[in-house]
Amino acid sequence: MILPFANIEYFIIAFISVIILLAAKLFFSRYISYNSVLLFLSAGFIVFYYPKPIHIGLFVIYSYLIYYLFNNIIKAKNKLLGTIILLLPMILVKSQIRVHYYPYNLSLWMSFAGLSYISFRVVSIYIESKSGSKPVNFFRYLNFLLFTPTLLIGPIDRYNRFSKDLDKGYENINADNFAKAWDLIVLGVVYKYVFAEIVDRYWLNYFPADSTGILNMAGNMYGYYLYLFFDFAGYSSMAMGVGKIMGIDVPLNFNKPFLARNPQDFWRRFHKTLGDWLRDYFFMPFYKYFTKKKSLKKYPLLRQNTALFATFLLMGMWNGFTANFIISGAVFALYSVVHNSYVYYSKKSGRDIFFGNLDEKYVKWISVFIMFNLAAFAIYIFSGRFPYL
Amino acid sequence: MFKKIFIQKLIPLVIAVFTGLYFFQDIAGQENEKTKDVENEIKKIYHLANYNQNHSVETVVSALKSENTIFLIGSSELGTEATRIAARPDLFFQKYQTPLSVVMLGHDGNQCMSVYAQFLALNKYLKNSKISIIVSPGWFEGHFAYGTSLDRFLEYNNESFINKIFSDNEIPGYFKDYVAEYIYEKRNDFVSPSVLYKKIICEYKSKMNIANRPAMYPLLRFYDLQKIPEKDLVNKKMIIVYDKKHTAETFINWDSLFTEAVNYQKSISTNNNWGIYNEYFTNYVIGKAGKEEIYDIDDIVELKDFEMILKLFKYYNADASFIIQPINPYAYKNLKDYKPVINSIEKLINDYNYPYINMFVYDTSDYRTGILTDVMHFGEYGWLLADKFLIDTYEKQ
Repeated sequence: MILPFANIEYFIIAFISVIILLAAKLFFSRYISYNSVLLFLSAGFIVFYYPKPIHIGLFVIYSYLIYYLFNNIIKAKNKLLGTIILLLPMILVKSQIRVHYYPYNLSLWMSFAGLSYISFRVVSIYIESKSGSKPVNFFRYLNFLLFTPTLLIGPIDRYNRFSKDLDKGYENINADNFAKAWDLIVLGVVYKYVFAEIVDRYWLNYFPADSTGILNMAGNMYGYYLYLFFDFAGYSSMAMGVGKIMGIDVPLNFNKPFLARNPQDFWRRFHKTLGDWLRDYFFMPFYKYFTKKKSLKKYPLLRQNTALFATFLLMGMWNGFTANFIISGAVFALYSVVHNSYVYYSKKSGRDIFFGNLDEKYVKWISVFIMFNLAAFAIYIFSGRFPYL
Repeated sequence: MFKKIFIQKLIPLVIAVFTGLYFFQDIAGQENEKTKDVENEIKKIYHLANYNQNHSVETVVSALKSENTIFLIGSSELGTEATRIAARPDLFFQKYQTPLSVVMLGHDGNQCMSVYAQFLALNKYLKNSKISIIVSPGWFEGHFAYGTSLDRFLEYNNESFINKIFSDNEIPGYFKDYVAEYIYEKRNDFVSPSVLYKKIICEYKSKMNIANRPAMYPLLRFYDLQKIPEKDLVNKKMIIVYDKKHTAETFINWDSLFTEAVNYQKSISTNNNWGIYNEYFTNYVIGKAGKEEIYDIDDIVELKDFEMILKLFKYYNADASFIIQPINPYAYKNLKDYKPVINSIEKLINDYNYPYINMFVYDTSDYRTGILTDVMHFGEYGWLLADKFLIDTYEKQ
């Protein structure tokens, strides 16, 4: 079966899809809308090529019904319960629940490739909808959720932004976008199939993953960081490219993360759409909740840090309920808490409490160096190659 | 703009792809050449775990072709060597002067679908070949009842086997389709399937309904561009002669061997009265539930796979037989639940008119110590009963 960007077959299908879109624009645009063609292509891909199409179909119907129930019938102002119910299939799958009288994990019933990312997009629609507002059109909802280039691992788009591209219709199918998309696809191919492959074969394979020798650990740590970047950024770039050819401006996901100066900056550069999603739908509600607590009014730093810690811990758990994911989330949380405290006290005292009066140029490069190593270490834990876990 | 894209981007890509494909095929071709140069003489082998060993396919084909050799196929019992194994057929038939030899193959997980596909690939050698299958009740219980795992299937049926099945025009379509359906059902379990498996999956899907045909068409045409090299399964120069010089039937004192085997099992099972050797009883029996889930007969995929083996044997006129292993009735408390399964197995074998021995018992009073060495693998006495069955079935012919 075919997963986006996982094999050459996907590119063949994408190529045929683009031909169909182009033909629809040139010959049938009067009779058939861009939205319909896009939905036809996405649904066709899911039905004919994607693994477990029935599972996806059932999830999409389930999520729309829950969204409609909470947003338009119950008209819940507090979005927490609705969000949890929308995320429930993902939580159950990650929990790997098994009962003694059935030979497989229950997740087998619910899981499908891309469940996490589709759940994120569903939650964003629900939270961004004003309670009681007109529900999102079901066909546009389908178009948003099933858009194949971002189906598997993002980038995580937002409905309102996606919807604007849908409204442009065939306008985005043009030669200018083709040229830009081509460069993105080529960049993605080089990143994912050349650089990531080289790092995997000739770097990571060189260092045994279970060794506790310092050189082996360092080799694994930096190697995996580079591998993850090239693999994921390559995928994201291809998703942007194919999305652009098909008329959708998929948001940027990676922007030179090795140059990040601090944790906040890192999440604006590395898997940016996840960082933004977590900020908007976890950090902000947490922070607002704590702000309303009278007992915490006097402790703004504590409020911020608690919200930060909870957000990153959740991010770790989202990857799976195993030690490497949870601890890597906690480590990223710790970085953010320390950095946030540093910024808070620096502002409060009116001076940089760590670097003092050091030249800004040196501060920048020292910060980049520190953040590079901190990120590499947290991702090393995440990788499952860290030998002490 | 489109012209610019065509000249600057598309043409270089096409050149790069075709250059890549050219070199890839060149390298693949060189690898095939290398495998041709092999030695012609090989040793006799009597026990194979799978086909990964050198000359294993030639060994199996030789056994199938030989008039006086029984090819015995089974699963985990063939790999159990914790206790004495002198009575195991591969060794027993070498030791005693019978005109028969036994070549056996298998280890845990070699269930019906795996066995079926192996024989389907080797269909040319099935006619009149002496084949015996050790049927393990464990195949039909718990998650094993859902059929052979993909890992084991691929271990026993490498690409040459699968390619042989799907490129052999003499194999009836319904035999092929059964394998194709299995591969299709397991499509999500493949880590990185080769072109051969992708093609089988797409072809099967395109046959499922008319809507799938246009969707699968471009992929099938793409797979057709990538030639799958056809290789002979067997190096025909390397056939082993298993036939022994015909010796006068040596008298085997079965009663004495049986008594000795039972006594041996008792001597190694001193910490229990269930006839399970001490170490196994301590490590795997104490504190265990002693119960496995048996599903409804219609839900047991393994039974359907088993019937396909029988159909295959009948179609190709194989001289087959079956040995049904028991389960230790002391260790398992729900053996009555197995009754429909064992009855179905017996009925199927009878329907196809093949000889068999059924050692399965439902009650402790019918069980004799030594048939099993643990809870579901033959002990010395069990192997002797199997040996006797094979001699009774094949030596008289």
